[in-house]
Amino acid sequence: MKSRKMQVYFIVFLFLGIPLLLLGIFTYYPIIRGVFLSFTKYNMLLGTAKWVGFENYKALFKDKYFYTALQNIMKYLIVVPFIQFFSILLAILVNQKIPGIKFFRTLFYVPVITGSVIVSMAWKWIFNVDGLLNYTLLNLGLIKEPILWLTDSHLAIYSAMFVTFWRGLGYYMVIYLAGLQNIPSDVYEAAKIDGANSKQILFKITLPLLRPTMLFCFIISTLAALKVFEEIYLLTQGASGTATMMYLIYDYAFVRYKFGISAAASVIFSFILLIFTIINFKFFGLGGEKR
Amino acid sequence: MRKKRKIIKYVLTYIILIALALFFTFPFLWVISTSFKGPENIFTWPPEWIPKKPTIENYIAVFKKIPMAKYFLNTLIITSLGVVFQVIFASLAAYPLARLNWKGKNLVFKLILLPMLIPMQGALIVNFITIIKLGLYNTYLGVVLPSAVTIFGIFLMRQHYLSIPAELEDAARIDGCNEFQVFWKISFPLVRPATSALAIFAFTAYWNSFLWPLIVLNSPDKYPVQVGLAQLSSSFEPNFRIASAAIVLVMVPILVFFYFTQRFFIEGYKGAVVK
Repeated sequence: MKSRKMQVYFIVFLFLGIPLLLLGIFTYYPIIRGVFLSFTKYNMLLGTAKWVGFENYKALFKDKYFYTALQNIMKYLIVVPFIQFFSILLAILVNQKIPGIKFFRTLFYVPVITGSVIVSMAWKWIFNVDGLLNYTLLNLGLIKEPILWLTDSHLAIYSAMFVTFWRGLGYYMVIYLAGLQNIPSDVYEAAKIDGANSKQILFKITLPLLRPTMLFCFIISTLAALKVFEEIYLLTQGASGTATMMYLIYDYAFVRYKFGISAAASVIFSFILLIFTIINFKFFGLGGEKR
Repeated sequence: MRKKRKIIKYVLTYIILIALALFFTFPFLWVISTSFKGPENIFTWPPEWIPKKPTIENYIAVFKKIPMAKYFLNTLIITSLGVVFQVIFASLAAYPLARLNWKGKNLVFKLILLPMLIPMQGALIVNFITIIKLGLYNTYLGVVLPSAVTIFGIFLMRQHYLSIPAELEDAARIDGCNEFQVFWKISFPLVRPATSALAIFAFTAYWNSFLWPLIVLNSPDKYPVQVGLAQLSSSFEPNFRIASAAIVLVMVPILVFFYFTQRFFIEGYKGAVVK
């Protein structure tokens, strides 16, 4: 029996050792180190960090783009309810058993599988001043002058949001579809025997049973909206008032090489993400994810 | 009357489906159409969705100017390395957390879950510095290693290990299996379907990853497809047609791959989301 206990501890070390080491280096250490970095001036070439107190935070609070970025990620949250509402509708639509439905599911998933870069490039040529959209609208006589979808500072962020919305629908559709198909069919049969109509089935059975999936989707979609980067980088390069927090963090660190300020922005951003995660859990109830 | 209503509902459903299909594919159709157009002008009214004088010169230009095959090879290496790491590490790490009794198990599990609740963003910069210090800057391993172990993966696999009835393992122990054999012959085969769900999540994540490889790689011959394309989009800005051809060349293999594996995608999420 003793040797069995030895075996167990051997497995524990063997199986958990490397994963915990990697988590330690790339997940836990950055939490502590990131906070420390935000109070220092980091020299990339020498790899040295000099303590500067709150200087980085002060510099950040003086930067008007920081406020733009904060506003933009808040605006971006508008995408979340839309994306969730329409992807649930889509999932219900493609959950029907009719001929060719798998083909349509595949088509709706194409924007997801092609990836953010291709999607953003394709949409850039639609939204451009001389792109397909302006061209069509001009020729139909709906507008007299081209609309600056990507360069007008009031409009650009919404164009990016639309691309995020368009790209995300298929992703969440598939997750909701999986959620719908996980609902046992006898639940529906029982409801039908009890004389429930399709509206009652939707609101009293389908949607409540989809709640755990919704929690999952709302959390990842909220975080994804707050963390948006690719669309911004590829559509506008952060210009026209479209910088988001992730773009700002990237820009400070890897364009301007101000690691300290970038770290300070990361710390503030982490708190924002934390708050929204808590709100999501509160809203959908923690009980939802216990199985 | 009833039959008529049913037919109307049917037709309506298909009209909606077709409209949505167009909504989700028209940017790509436009790209495909543009990629076959000559230098005359891209725009005519009404827009030419099927070019009157199709040409493949854009594709020839792409092959001359862009190392497409190289980008694909890089993506293949990064994605498969990442998927293999994630699946192996999560399958291993989750097992003792779910099925074995040892001191400190709950503490370790809580510790592992902690960062999931604190979505920390400092990782981008700190990991960049770490990767440089480890000498992994501009390597495939540098791209993959920081996300080789994911908390989500461990959590997912643990849920599946937990659903195994203890009797199965106990029976194997009574039959004389040692602890390794219990894992390898009983428990792991039972959670194997879940590894494909995890593999799909990992595949999508690596395939779509953009910011991290952009930062960690600096020589273009190591770029994965997504980063390579993005760099091109700025250099080919004035020339839609060539960039369109490049996009089509990237899209075709993905779509073929997806066509054959789509079953796993939908089934995969089923195994992952709620059990």
